Amino acid sequence: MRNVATLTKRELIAYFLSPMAYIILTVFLILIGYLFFQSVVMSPQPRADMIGTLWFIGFVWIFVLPLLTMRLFSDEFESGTIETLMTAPVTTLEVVLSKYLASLVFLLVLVLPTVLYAAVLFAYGKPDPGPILTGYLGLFLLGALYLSVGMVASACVRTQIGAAVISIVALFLLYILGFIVRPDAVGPVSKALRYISFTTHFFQEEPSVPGAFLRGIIDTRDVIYFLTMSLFCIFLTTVLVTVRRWR
Amino acid sequence: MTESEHLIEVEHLTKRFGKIVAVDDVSFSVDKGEVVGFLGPNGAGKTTVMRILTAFSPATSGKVRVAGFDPFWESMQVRQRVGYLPENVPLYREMRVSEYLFHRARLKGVAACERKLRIGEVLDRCGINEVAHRVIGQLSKGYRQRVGLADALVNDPPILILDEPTVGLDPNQVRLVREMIRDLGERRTVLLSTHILSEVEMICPRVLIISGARIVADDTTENLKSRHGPTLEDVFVKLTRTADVVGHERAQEEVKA
Repeated sequence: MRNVATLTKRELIAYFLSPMAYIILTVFLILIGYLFFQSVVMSPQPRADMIGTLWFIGFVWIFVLPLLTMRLFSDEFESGTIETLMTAPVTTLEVVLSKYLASLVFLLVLVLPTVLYAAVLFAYGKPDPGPILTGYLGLFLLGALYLSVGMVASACVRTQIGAAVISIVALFLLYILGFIVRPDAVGPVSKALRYISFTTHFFQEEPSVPGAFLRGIIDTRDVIYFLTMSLFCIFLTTVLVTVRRWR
Repeated sequence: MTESEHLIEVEHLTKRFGKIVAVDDVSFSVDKGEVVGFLGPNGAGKTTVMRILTAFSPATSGKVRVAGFDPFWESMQVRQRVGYLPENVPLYREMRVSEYLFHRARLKGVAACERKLRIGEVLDRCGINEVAHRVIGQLSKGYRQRVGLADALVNDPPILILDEPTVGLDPNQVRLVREMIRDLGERRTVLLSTHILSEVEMICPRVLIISGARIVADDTTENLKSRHGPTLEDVFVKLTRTADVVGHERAQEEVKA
């Protein structure tokens, strides 16, 4: 555990010393702020809920979070620091977990300022707090999944741009999978495809029905989906890093 | 820790990358307190052997013991006892020198109360005190090399494995690093690879020469010179070229067969 703390600290230093972190933070907040303003304040029939905002954040993250994870392993392999790292007395799993933890911390930093919008709703209306809280929980689980997918991509390729492109494409495919496979299809393959896509677990369960988290429901099936997918990606990263070191 | 005489022991070590044989049936051992030069042309397999010794990558076959431990199965024990300076000295460029060394000391399990003292010592020893608060990415090659060396020394390991520690340094820095290594060799076991033969003659009483993935010489510099030629350069050229020719012939025979 001590190693995980040490390594996480070093990853956080790397995050906050790079200009990338601040560029991402700024662009993301401007984008979300604009959307919130348009959809809630300027709307002819304003609704006191966060469904639209949280949905949009989840969508934008497909393109934003891979920029956070792209350097995690690509950079270590590219600069050769993987060699000093993996000859120090630390296990591969400790290294993977630390990098993941650090990116989760950054995810929190990214999501915290948007809580302000919820505060605006409470100041000027009477929103139902339940769906907002569960929505944020779902959003965090969704982001955690994106980060784990991005980490796998960064363990696959040597260049950061390559890692970002791979994870954006993978996440976007997973996203549209939930829309293009019809919900009334009964075959086991289409059922499995709909299950694998995070769309049905967060964005929309059925056409025009938002996901359970957004409706204020914590469905254990969704929680289990996010946790197993993220854990699988962590495992896959550990295997990839080990195999690449061996060759 | 099993106290064996050989701190590094390699028997019939082979490493394949697909069909390419990078290290072919290599055996040697290094005793406690020895400083051994590890020579060979580029691509001969020096770095591969060093990576196996430091538990970075596993061997395909053969027996390896470092400080009495197997680098694959007892990797953590090996890593705690080996200070490794990889080729090209990879470092985190965005960190400051002292910050980096603190991080590495913590990772390598240097107790919190000793960290400051140890880091002060290695900063002094490697002559990088004046850059302790500078960002690594802005340092010259010579300083970066010495930061890497400081990292290898920070937990005071009994074994040092240095992959081309003096490449890219100016003559003054080469002399400094050379003297440091000679100093270090008094208390530690050092295996160092290099292309600078004069350097080897000055600090390593014994050399291993690897060529075409095989060990072609393992002897004291004096013996090698009396047998193969007046200077170490002659020895090197003679031994590595014959190995190349033999290897080439072997390859041609394989093609014919």
